[in-house]
Amino acid sequence: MLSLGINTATNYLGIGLAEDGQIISDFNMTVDQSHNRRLLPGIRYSLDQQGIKLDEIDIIGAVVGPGSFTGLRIALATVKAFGLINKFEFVPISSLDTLVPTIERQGYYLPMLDARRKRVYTALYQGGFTLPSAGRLSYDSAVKVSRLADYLAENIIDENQYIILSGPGAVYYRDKLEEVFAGSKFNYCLTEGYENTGQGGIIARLAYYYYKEGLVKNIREVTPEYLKKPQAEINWQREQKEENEDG
Amino acid sequence: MDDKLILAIETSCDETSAAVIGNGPEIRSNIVASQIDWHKKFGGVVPEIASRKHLELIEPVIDEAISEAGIEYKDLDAVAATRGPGLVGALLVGFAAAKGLAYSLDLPFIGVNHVAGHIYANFLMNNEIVSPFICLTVSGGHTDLLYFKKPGEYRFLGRTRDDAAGEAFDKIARFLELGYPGGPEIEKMAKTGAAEAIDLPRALVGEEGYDFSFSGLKTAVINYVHNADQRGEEVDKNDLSASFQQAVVDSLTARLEKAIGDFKSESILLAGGVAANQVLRKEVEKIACKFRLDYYVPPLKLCTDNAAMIGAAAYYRYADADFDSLDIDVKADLSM
Repeated sequence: MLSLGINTATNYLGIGLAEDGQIISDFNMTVDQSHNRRLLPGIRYSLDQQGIKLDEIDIIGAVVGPGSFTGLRIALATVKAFGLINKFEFVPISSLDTLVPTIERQGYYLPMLDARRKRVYTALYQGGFTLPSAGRLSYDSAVKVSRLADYLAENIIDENQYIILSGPGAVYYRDKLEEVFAGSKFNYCLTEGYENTGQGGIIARLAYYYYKEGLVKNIREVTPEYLKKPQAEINWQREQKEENEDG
Repeated sequence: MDDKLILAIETSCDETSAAVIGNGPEIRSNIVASQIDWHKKFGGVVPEIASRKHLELIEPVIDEAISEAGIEYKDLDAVAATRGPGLVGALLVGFAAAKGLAYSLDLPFIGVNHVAGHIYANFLMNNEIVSPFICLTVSGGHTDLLYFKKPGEYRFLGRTRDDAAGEAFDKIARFLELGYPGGPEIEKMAKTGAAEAIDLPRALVGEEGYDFSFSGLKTAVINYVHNADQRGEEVDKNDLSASFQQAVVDSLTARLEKAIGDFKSESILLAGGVAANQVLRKEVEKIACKFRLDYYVPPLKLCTDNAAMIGAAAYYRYADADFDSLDIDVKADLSM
């Protein structure tokens, strides 16, 4: 079975192809904010190089969040359009699942993406599993960087194991993380490079295995994992609350 | 041209719309899903909410446009979408979907200028408009006066130096707490008000050039209300709405009339969301009569944002084989 993996959640663009879970194409680049310009040409290039047509793809896996709202919507609008023309299975993938490629190895994994306002999107995983979905210990959520040691204490059972921090959020908050963990009992290391970008190939591979696990969704019903209401909505609710209290 | 079918998508602001345009250009279907109810309580369009709603609505709206046109996706000859101007996040949803369809179906892609779309809405009703013509485009984002030698060949005569006319309507409606969208609300209030009741400025009228300005008018309205408040007087919102509306219309028509006097033309075209305003429509019609020019204005439902007008503009691009590649980007401040 052929799977196509797409990641537009961060400043990287990842497009990958896999055949029965084996990566056959892995196209990644930094794009800043130009996902819209690069996504379709990237998909076309990847498919053309492998001599595969879009309608031959059996599974499409796309990162649905957390991450850049605009980026996520570009990928999902594109895949929704594909779904109007072609038949395929859709697999929604957490961007955090794409940031723990070494999950087979022992330890705890804490991948992070910058969520702004000194917070990171994160989730905790336990190593020793083939798939991130199997090792997952908590849901995706936005956590204050200063609270991360507490967050670990709430979720970790074996305190002697190493914590592996990864993802662009970990690189971005490197100094702050050092401060946060300085006074804690946790041993951690920070991975650099490959683990931090959400590679297209990894997503194509995950898409195949998640499909086998039945983790599919109707593309028509898919929306990004925003994890946050629009700021205008938050402000409005706060104002309503204040008005009620005043009244 | 053989029968050609173009699917057009518009998501530049708060309407999610898809349309199928056939030869003529003729509307085969035009589906518009308005998001007004989701933005109302904020007194204006919230970009992030608009983008989220577009993504939820885009697929059913496209599907409905295809089925209402009585065609299948494989019957299409091109796919078009609004490229700008508009809200970036909102534009991207329709643009990405349209590119995805064009790629899946191996069809040409056309990125359309939204303001051109408003103008070409006129061609959906009448494709024998006599050139040269002068076009006044008035919307929430634009106040443009253009001179067309023929369709596709134009020069800018003037534009707003600050607020767009529709923006002024929205801001004043919000200030007077009349609700959103502001244009229709002010027009409703103005019906029972006296347009000459309150003296408001008509900026730039009588000056060189063809530009517009509405920020001074906006300030004058706000000052009028504040002064009345300080004197403890009640403001008649009907009179104020009518006087404000008249000031906007007078500013627009004065510049239009000046342009007609300076540039030889056969027709006047009115376009954009504010072209739905009845007072503006009547005043422009009077000018057309006075100068014995043909006068065109789209029906109300084609004045507000819709995909049919984007399809109409794309139709003329298709005829010229003027296509875009899939790596083209949206542009929030796209100019004509």
